[in-house]
Amino acid sequence: MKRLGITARLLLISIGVFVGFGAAVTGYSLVQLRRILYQEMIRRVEAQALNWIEANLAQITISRDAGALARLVGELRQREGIAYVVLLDEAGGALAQSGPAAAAGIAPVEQVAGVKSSVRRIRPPGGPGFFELETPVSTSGTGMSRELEALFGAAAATETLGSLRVGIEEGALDRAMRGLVVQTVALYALLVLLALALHSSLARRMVAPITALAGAATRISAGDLAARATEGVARQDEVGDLVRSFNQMAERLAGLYAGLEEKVRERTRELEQANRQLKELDRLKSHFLSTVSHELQSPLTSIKNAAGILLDEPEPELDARRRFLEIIDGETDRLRRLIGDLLDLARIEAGAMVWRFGPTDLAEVVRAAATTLVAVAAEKAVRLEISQAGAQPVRADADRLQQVVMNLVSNAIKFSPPGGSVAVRLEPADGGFRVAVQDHGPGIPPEDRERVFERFYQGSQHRPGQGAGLGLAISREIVAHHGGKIWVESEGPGSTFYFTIPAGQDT
Amino acid sequence: MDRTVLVCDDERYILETVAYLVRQEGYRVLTAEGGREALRLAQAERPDLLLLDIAMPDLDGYAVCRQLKSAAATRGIYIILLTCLGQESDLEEGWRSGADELLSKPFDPRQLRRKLHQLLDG
Repeated sequence: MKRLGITARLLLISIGVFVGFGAAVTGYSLVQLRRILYQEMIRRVEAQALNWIEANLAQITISRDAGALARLVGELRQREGIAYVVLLDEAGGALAQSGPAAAAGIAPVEQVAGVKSSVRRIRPPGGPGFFELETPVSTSGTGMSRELEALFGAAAATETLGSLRVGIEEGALDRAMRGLVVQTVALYALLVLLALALHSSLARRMVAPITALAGAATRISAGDLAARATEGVARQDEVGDLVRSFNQMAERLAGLYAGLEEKVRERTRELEQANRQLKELDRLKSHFLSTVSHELQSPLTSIKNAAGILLDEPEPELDARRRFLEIIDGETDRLRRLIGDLLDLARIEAGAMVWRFGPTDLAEVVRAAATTLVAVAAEKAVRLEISQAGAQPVRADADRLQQVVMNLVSNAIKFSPPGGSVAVRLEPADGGFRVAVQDHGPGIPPEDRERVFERFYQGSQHRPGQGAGLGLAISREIVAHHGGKIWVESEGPGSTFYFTIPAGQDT
Repeated sequence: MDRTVLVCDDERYILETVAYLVRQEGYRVLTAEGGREALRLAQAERPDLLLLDIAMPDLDGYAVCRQLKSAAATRGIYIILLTCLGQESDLEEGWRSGADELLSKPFDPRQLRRKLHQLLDG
């Protein structure tokens, strides 16, 4: 079905109303006018008929000469609007006739105010319609009757002599009225056209802001939230109110949408970050598991092989036997260290580590750690150089701090070339103390400097037997628990690990 | 003619004990401490069998296995991949790389002997 705009609809309704009402009013007026005109005509014709009767009563009564009567009737018919005239005698026979009389018949009687004659409306099939007046021709009320009354008494005075029928052709008046009808309809049509033109321009003016509003709404629903209705904004009527409140609504919508988008972006960022973190955690977990299993299975394999050789060989050579027992011993130590480190790390991360904080001399901690490692250093011909300035009191877990220093120093020895030296310095630093462990080993490439503190990170130059990569991770946790920092600097050959412990730490 | 077995592992005690085990069975033994060395020795010496560790820093066992199995000259070398127990992904990747046998660490030395005889003398 074709879509009709508001303007077109209003126009159609108006046309219907104008034409309908106009036609009704005009039609009614014309019908009424026609009735009045006919009645007027009927009255006029009756008056003429009555005059004619009175004037010619003597003639009609006395001489019934057909030629004379026909002439008289012919005279009457000449009057305006009269189509035919028939003069009847008292028995209903025609005495004289002029014009083509309508076929007599039973026809409804019309009531016309102020008319004494009976009026019938005759509509013969196929022919023109007539109003027919039938006026009695009697002596009653005439001057002649008064004479007759005086001569012959009352009975003679009211003698009915016959009747006069006068036909008025309906079409005559209608022809006269046709011009009037055409003029009226033409005038009316002109008025309707004018009204419609006015109406149409008014409607367009009223509807234009609504059309613009609909356009803006369509653009907004298509996603253009900046679209506003511009037409009719200043109008002080309902349409103006509508346009203004629409614009306010659009403004609010745009604001809400912008807020929403920002929120969605924010949430998406958060979710993406959480997802990345979870993926990273998952990756770390699998990596952790596979590293742990590898780190546990390597020494176990060596132990199992060595034990198998010893068991299956009935008389092993003494050297071989000693060698495999050494392997079993060394690899068992390696397993024990690894398990100890794993447990430490698990306890720290679970918050289940038992810390024993107390007054601690940091110088003593460094000295004790170095002493434990003297033998290891000597084995590799590495010189340990310790420098410190007297007692350095802090509040700390001495055993754990010693573990940190031992980790750093044993790493330094491990990576030192034979005959090299490892320097351990304890010095005051911002609000506390700093321990530096410096080696002259191969150094650490920049990309590894942060990662060496991750669990199981063994560096790209790792060789088996150099440790599982847990020592620095544990050290970082211990230092952090003391409120300090741990980091590495490695410029040129060798690297220096630092950690700080705040003075008066009271955790 | 002595059969030659190339043993490759970056864990030096595993390398040492496995080499000893293989030698005990009467085979000639070559050792490599990393993937690159194993690849070089396998191509140069054409051993009959290669006992190959997976996790090595320079070149992992899968890569060595794939390279040897993709070259006509070295395709005939039996390869036993030494996987880590409980790492199902290792097994899958191991078979995909073309290994003839997989052996999970820690293994029973007797199991290793059985496999060697099966592949070299059976």
